[in-house]
Amino acid sequence: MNSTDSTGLCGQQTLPVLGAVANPAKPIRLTRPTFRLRARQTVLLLLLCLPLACILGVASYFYLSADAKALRGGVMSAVPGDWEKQFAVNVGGLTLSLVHAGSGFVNLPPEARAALDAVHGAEVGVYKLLNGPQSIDRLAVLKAADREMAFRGWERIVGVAEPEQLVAIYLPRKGFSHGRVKCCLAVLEDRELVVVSARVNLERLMQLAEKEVDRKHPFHLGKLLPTTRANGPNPL
Amino acid sequence: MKTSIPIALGTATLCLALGGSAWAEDLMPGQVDFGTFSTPKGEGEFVEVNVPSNLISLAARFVQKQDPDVAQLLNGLKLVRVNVIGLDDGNREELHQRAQKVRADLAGKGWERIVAAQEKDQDVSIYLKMAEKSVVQGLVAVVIDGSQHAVFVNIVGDIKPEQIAVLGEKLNIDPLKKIGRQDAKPTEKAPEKAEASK
Repeated sequence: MNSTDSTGLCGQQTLPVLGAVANPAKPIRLTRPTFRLRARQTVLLLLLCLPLACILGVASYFYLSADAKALRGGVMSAVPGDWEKQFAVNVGGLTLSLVHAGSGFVNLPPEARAALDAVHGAEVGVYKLLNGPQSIDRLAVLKAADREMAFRGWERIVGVAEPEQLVAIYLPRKGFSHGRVKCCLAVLEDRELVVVSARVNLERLMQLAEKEVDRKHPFHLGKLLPTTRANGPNPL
Repeated sequence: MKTSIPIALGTATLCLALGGSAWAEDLMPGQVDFGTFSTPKGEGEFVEVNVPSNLISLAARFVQKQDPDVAQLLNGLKLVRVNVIGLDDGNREELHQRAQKVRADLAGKGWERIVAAQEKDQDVSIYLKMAEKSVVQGLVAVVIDGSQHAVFVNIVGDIKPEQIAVLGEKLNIDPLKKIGRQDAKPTEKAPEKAEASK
C-alpha cells in the first residue's frame, strides 16, 4: 500500500517521485572520484598544451610585435614594390630576464651589465626592397607611418629625411614613466628597411649614456641653425 | 518613436566626441602651427623634432643633479618643435613666403619681435609671446639661411625671462644669449640711476 505522504509503511520514508523506499540496512555509499579525474584531466591538458606553448614561444622569437608591425606596414605601404624579409628577431622580457639572471654567473664589464639592466625587450626586423621606384617620396613615407602609429597611440618625435636615408622615431603618447619606455624606430636607407622596437628603462639608459657621452658637448640646436652674425650690430 | 531616441542619442554622442576632439586639437598658448612642410626633392635635408612635455619632464629629472638651472627651465617647457628644411629651387620661394606669413601672423596675434636681422642672404627673426607677470609662454625663431636651409623653432612653456639666456646657452642660439645679457644690464644700471637721482 503506497502512501502519499513522506511516511510510508512501518515508518519508512518514501521518495515522493518514484515511491521507492530507502532501506537503512543498505545505506548508499557515496564515492568521490571527481577530484582525481579533474587532476588527471588537468595534467593531460598541460601535457598536450606544453608542446604547443613551446612552439608558439619559439615562433615568437621570429615575429615582431603589433606596434613594430604597424610601423613596418606604414613604411612599406608608401613604397611601391616587393619587400623581402631578411630576418626578424624578437627578444622579450622573459628571455632577457633569464639572460639577466644568468649573467650573474658571468664576469661582465659594468657597461654591459648596465645595458642589460636597461633593456627589457627588443625586436629588430630587416627588409629589402626588391623592385621599387628609383626615388622614394620620403614625406609620403613619413605620413603613412605617422598615420599607422597614431592609430595605435604613438607620436613621432624625430623625423629625418635625407636623400638616401629616412629615420623616424616614435614614442607612445601615454603610459610613459621614467621606469619603462617603449620606442619604435624605422630607418630606410637605400633599399633596406630596418624596424626596431625596444622597451627600456630610460633612467638607467641615461645613466649609462651619461658615463659614455662627453658632457662638455651636449646636443646643440645651434648646429642645426646657421651661424648668425652675432658679433654684428644689435638690431634692437 | 522608440528607435528615434537611441538614434538621436547616438548622433548627439558622436557630435560631442567630434567636437571634443576638435577642442583637444586647439593649440596651447605660445604654440604656433607652422603648417606641413614638404621634403626637398633634391639633395636637401628635412629634419623635424617634436618633443612632448612628458619627454621633457623626463629629461629634466635626469639633469636635476648636474644642472638644476636647466632642469628648472625644462620643467617649465611643454613642447619643443624644430623644423629644418633644406632649400632648393623647388621650395625656396614657397618657404620664403611661409616664413613671411608666419611672421605676419605672429605680429597680428600680439607676439613681440625681439630679434630681426637681415644681412645679405640671412634672415633671422625671433618672437616671444608674453603672458602675465612677464612669463614667456612661447618662443618662435624663424631663420632663412640663404640658399642652404630654413629653420622654424617653437618652444612652448612657462619661461621666465632670466631663463631665456640659459636656453640660448644650452641650445647655442646666439640671439637668445644676447637677450639674456640685455636683461641683466638694466639691473646693473639701476644702482647707477639710484645714485644719480640722489
